[in-house]
Amino acid sequence: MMASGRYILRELWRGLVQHRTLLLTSVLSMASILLIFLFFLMIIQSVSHYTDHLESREEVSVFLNEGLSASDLAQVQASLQAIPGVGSLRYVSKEEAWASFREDVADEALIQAVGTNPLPASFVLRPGPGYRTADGVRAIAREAETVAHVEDVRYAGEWVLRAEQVVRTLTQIGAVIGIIVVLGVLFVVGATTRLSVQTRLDSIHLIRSLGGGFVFNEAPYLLEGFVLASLSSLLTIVVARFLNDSLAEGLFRLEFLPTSTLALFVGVSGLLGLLGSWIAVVTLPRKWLL
Amino acid sequence: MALIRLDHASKSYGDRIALSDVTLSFEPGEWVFVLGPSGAGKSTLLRLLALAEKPTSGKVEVDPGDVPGRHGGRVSSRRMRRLIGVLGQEFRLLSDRTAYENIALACQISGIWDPMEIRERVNPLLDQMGIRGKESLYPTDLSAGEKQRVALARAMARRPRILVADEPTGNLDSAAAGQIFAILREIGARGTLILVATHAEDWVRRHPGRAIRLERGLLRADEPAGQGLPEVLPR
Repeated sequence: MMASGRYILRELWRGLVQHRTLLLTSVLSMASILLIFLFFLMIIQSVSHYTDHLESREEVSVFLNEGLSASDLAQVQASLQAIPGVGSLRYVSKEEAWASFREDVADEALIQAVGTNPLPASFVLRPGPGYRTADGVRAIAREAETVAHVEDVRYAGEWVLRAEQVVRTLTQIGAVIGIIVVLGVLFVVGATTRLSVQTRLDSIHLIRSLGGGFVFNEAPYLLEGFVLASLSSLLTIVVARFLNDSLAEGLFRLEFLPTSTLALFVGVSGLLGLLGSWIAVVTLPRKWLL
Repeated sequence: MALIRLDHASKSYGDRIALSDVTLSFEPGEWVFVLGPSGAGKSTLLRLLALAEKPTSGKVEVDPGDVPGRHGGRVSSRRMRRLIGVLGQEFRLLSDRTAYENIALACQISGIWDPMEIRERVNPLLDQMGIRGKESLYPTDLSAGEKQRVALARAMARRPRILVADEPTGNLDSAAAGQIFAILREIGARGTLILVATHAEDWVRRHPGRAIRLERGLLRADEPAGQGLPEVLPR
């Protein structure tokens, strides 16, 4: 087992050294395709995180009528608390709202012009997990509008909805690009392995004629496809990191993918290489040398 | 039981009949010449005997003996092929391996991976083939005769019970051809069944054995060799 493993590795090395130009071209071709896909993954991830951020900040402001008694407030609070999807709520008195407004505006002339505090007291509702979506926030707001002593309800759900649509669209485009990339990698790896196999066709036929099995005829090529595709994906990560760090500054700088996703990216690329090689090797016509 | 037997074996490639209804059997240690003009079916017969191809109809049976890897009495054709050494007119050496590595490859394919064991098999073959000292050379550095001896050593490295040789001296001068025939004789004397397709009629007349003559895929003669076989058989 160990000896046959060593043989496969030796044959892999022999193949890599003997066909280095062909294989280098193949690695670069695969890396180009994978780079497009990797950047798309990064775009999807960044937009998705932005949407998460919006959702996590999503709040519903419930403005109250003037002059409510303490018991009225307690009743409103209980009614709002009972709305499905409300995670927590916070009371903001007229005074707190005014103080916050003064702090935000920071323009004494404007504040003097406003005169007395016109702001109502309010409850700020934070949706619980599962309700931090446009639909969830909208449902909470509609329920809150029906509660007694509520004057108005405001929320920013439309932003979330739009961002979600963008993410959904990008994800769909990403899926299409993903399929194209998968086919592209399969084609490039398959074609490269096939070329590599063609250059060693006599050896393969000879070894088959001698009764050589999987270790001799398939394993080195399968491993070659796996290694090439894995190397391509590693090169892709390095190039993507470099481009993202050095060329794309400011607004266009994307979040880099986490290590676990990158590991998955390398693993899946390697498996695609393996599949491409397998297709190339098993479709090789049989020929006996005698 | 015969070592290998063809039972009404025929082989066609599309509409072309390469071999038609041939029944033959061969014993261990036999020396068999397969003769006939080009297109007679010699190579087809040898391919069937080497288990490289299956007959279109009829059977090819090999006595598996004590071949390892038997499962429920059946032996895979891949394992059976390991009982058979093959030698062609073209030497078919792997150009990126030394002579030694080319021979050792046959051992590895047979499941022998221990370098010591491989050496014990390969070194006597280097001596027997007269290529000691050439083992570290690549095929491009060997003469045609040396290449063929390396190819023969590779065929013998697995200690086959049957050696199938298709025009083994076709690319060699008479001196090199003589050396190859001498080595084949020596191998045959140790009990290996030798099947040689050749056009070298003078060898057939000089060497005792058995001569099978084919013509247009039909078996025309199965006679003793080495006894002045006629140049042309009666039709």
